[in-house]
Amino acid sequence: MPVVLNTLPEPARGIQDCPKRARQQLDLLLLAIEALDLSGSEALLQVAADLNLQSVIGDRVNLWRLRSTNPLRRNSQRQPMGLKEAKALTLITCHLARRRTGTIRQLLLAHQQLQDKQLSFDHNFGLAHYLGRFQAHFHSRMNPKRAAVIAYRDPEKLHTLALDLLNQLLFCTGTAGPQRLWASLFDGEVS
Amino acid sequence: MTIQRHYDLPNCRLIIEGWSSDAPDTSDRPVLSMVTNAECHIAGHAHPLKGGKAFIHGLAQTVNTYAQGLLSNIPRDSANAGVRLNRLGLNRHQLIVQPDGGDTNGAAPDSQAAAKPTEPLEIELTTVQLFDLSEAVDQLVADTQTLPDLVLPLSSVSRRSVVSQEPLAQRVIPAALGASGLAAAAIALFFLPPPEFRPTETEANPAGEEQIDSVVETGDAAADGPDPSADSSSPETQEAPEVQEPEAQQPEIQEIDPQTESRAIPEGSEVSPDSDIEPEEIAREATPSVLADDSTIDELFTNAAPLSDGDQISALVLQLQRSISQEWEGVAETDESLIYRVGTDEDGAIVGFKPVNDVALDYADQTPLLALTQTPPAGLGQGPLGQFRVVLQPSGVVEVSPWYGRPPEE
Repeated sequence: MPVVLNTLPEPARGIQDCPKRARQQLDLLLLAIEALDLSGSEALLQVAADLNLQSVIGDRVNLWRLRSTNPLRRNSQRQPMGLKEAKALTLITCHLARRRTGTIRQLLLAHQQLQDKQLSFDHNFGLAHYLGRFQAHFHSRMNPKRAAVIAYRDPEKLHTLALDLLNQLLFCTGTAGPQRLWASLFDGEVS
Repeated sequence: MTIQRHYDLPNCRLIIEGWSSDAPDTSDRPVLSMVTNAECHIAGHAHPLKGGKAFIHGLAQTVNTYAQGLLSNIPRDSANAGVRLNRLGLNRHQLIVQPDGGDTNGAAPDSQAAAKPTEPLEIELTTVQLFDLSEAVDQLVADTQTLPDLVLPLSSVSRRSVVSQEPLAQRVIPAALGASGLAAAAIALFFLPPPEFRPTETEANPAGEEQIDSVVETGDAAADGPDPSADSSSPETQEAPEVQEPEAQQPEIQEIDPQTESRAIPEGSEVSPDSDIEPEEIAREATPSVLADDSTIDELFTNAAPLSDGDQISALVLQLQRSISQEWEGVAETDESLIYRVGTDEDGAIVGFKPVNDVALDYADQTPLLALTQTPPAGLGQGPLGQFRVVLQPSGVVEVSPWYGRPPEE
């Protein structure tokens, strides 16, 4: 097992694999990263290699299968996601987020300024671009028949989700980002 | 020697002042273990947040807890009363700091908090500002040379504390739904009759006899009225010596019909077509001359507990067949089978019998049954009763089968 995974503690005893909300959250954070950056999915495999996590993440197909454990996905896999794989995705997410710290901060500042002036997202190119790409990714990959996905047909709600994920990505960039994200994945799951 | 440490982020500067409690440390960066003053400057706010050890511990704990809640969208109350954070919106957060009492070590007098000691200080933060505050705290915690006793317990929120954040009304809903569902089911089931246990008879009746049986039974059921035990235990062939007046009987038969049908007796379906049988016929069938006074046998067949041991029933069948066969030589006057319902005690002694079809009634005195019937002992009806269907063929053959069939194999 790669040593880097040991930076994340084992969750409470009795948890063998990743809870549903955690699988969904990890996939959505990666989706937000892809919306930030055109080369997001390529970078994902590259970072896995940089962090020596290839043995856990495997190739592109295996990565797709891991992300498809998100229950909202069109081709959602019913198989569980192991803790080892979840740890790897957590580390990769935080690593990718840290590389894009500047972009994330810019977009969040822009959002705040637009809010203060009560302007729509279209007034900032970067933000509109991110939201548009996230919307396209979300609709093309998530199962439109799921009730949770139907709720996001409202663009307003989907924008809120995208911005919320952007907020969360910012917190992933911090010193304790990976540990905090990892702990948050099991919120409400431990007894 | 006073040590000062700075943690600078674009929107937040955290300054910790204190000294090392250990013996003079000669290293370049001695451990700051005692905090005397802590300041937190937030961009856009002129006055820094100030406090001592309690302030910096409360800030670290609250910011950490809140940041984790942002990541999981599962908020959790910080246990710290001195520093609180509330979410105002997607991008807005409110930091509330209670003034630090007595722990400020002289830094307080010139601060705003000391000027209004009872007023909590409220600051509105954007997400980026909050992140910088969180990052400054994280760097402070990660710094092993400053406040080494400050650790952040990064742990997941327990299921229990998540549940407790739902309002009581919402938590009660599932229980209330379950209870009311149970009540509704109980009310609905109250109107359903309890299911009856009715062993199926293996031997099929000849069609002609069945019709007569049904008519006789109907008359009996009407006469007996709502006696559930009689209905359930021997619904097929009750004789009704009381039935004397066909005119009075006829409407009651009609009234009983639906009931017999609803009990789903196999013969029940034939009752309705038969209800147009001549009243005289019913009267003739229902007034047997031999057994008119023998209502105790009816009672016995109805009320006695049946045998339940399959082996015992088989043995009694054999025994009964053997004893009757020895005496039965057949009858020449008819070519119909004589069918009787015979009751025995546990030892196989016949305690009573009843003719089932009219031929059986006519030739009852020519059968060995009367001779074999024991005088009922005083305690009759206390023990279980074996009931058998005895068919005497005119040719002299005897067939015996259990009246209620054989109990299912274990």
